[in-house]
Amino acid sequence: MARSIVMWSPRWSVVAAYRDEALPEAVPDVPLALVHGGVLTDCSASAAHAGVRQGMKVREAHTLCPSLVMAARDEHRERRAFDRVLTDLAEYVPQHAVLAPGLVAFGARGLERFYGSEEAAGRMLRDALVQSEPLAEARIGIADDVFTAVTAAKHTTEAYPFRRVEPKNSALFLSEMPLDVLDDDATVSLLLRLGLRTLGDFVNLGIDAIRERLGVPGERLFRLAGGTAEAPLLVRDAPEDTRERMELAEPCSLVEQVAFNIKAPLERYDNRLRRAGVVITRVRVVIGFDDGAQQEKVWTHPRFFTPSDLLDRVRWQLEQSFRNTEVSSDVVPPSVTWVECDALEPEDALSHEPGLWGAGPDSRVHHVFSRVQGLVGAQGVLTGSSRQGRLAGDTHVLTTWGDHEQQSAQGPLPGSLPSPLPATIFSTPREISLVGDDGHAVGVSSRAELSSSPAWLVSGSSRLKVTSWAGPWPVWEKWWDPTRSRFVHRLQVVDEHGMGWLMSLCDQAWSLEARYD
Amino acid sequence: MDVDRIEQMFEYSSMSPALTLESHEPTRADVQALRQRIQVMESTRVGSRVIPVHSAVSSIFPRGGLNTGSVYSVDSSTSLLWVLLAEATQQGTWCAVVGMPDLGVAAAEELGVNVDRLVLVPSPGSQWMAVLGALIDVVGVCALGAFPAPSERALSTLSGRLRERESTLLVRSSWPRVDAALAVEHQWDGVEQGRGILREHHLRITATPRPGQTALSCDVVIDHGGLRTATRMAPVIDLAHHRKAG
Repeated sequence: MARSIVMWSPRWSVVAAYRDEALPEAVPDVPLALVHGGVLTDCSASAAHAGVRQGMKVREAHTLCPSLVMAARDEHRERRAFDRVLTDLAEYVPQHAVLAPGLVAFGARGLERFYGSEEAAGRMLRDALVQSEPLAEARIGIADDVFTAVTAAKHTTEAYPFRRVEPKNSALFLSEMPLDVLDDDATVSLLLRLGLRTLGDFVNLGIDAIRERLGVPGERLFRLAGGTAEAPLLVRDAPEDTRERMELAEPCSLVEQVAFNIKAPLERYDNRLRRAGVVITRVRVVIGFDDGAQQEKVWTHPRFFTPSDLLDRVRWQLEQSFRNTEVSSDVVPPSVTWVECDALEPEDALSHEPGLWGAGPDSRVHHVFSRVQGLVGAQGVLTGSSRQGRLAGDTHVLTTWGDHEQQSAQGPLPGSLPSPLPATIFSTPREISLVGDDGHAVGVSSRAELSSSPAWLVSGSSRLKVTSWAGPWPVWEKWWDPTRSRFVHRLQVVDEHGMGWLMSLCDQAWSLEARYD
Repeated sequence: MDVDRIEQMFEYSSMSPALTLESHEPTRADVQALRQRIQVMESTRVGSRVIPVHSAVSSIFPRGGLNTGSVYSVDSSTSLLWVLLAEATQQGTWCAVVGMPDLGVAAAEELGVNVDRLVLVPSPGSQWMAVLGALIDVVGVCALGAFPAPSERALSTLSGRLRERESTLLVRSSWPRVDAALAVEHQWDGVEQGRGILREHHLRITATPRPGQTALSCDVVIDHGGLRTATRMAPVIDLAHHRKAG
């Protein structure tokens, strides 16, 4: 049994959400709640003050606190935020065992020896956490085993954030605890129905009776409740700091200058991560300019980034930002002063090692496509996938080569474009006029009827005779959202050469959406 | 002795009348026939691989598929493009489409293209030749938008690369020295004056090879089930009319 110090940060998921840059509306002090499956999993102190509680339904919480900001729970985000804190803690304590985001255990013996006493070590850890993450709160529990220490940490208050269980007193401490600290809902519910209230009651049943009725899981719970569980601490080293800021010796305003200056630092950065046994598959690149502006972008790689890949991404990002500022050419373009790379979700290098005989033909394909991206820009090389859509342009999604495709489960979509689908879809619909047999432009009435029979497709000086047509079909897309809603009429037309066209009428103007060639 | 030999030699050469200018004036037709024979021999590359195409259209290719190392010119029909790429992508060959921004990827999937093996470079701009040169290394079929033919010298370099890498190029404009030019005639069925829906796409695909070889064509139909060979329909008998007459 290893005496342990457990540090618990209550409402860690809320802190992580406040720190997430992807949630701009979640700023500290705003009442915030995290939602999973329609139920609140956690909420901020300000929300709790308004009466919002864990386990509430979303609607109920909104009634209690109308200004409540909701965010989806994201375990990745919590882990990422906690890893950042642990990196800072590495200065004080080299090894730790993360039990959950916001809950971490340390071996007590070494810390006690170094800091004089367990209390001093606990205070130091608490200060270190708050220093690294001012929004967080830290509670400390110290006991003979991890389970008791966790229970102790969770039964502290804001006013008394320490709870230390004297050596060999675990069983006594736990016997007063309610059953639900066991974290096994089914068993706890059964025991409550049997009339048991505390862990002490449970232990008093005796190991034989519990083993007989609850089997091996019951035996494990018995050991936990008696403070005799021998779960060894799986300690690991502090996570590698995946962020690196590269300051340029002098501000540069040319892409190639910047690329030249950061080539060596990027190689060092990659080397450092490789030595730590991780590779980068997703990286956030932030570029800082001398006028204080920052420009950031997240890049993804289908395998992992090599230093030259990273350099390419920085170069593309710079080219793009320079292109955007080129409009005002009389102003001196801003110069780059620093570049920062932050590997998001670093992956174990072992799972990316090339095989003994190379990584197969697909790595060659990837290499060539990346080279083409170097020629035409990252967004110039695409892969496509189909989906259901009511308008021609919605029937496919184009993804930049190397980016992860956002998969969305899609059921059948009523009113989607019928098969066979048009082989040519104009990336920008072409304006055209549709003239009826009465010589006037064809319109659509409010009852979705054409004002006259279509006779000619006219575009500039050229025209095509319409031989047959079908439709119109009204399509009202996203009617619930006034900013994105669109009401169009679809019409299929066949011209004198037997070619099929898909047209749409939006705001009294016809356009060609697609060609059935 | 020597003189005799020389005389004999002259006699010998004069024995072949077809090759002498005096005895037989070569007509324009002869020259063309010879050129055709040379071209036929040129285009036969024994041992070069064939990229398979859908069985409904394989009949227009003398070897049952696209010759690797060759250039085909295709017209602007995108369905034709997808039909030509379908079988190759399904067998795991990477295919690329360069310089065509207006593509319906959903239609490609309907026609049997495995889009996981398809990469698109919609607007390569002036870099198209460099992009093409890079892509040829790894893709089996590369389709190119309507770009003007490169210079004769660049074209022969390109052909060499295509042969070496065993890939095929489809071009949407008429380039010199193509293996065949593929053209499509369309007919859509299913719509009338305001009723129905575009249901059946009839295509007649014609392959016009180098001069001297016969043009081949095939009729196919695309409907909601994908691509199939057009079958000659039995004449529709109007039963109601029949009964009245009977």
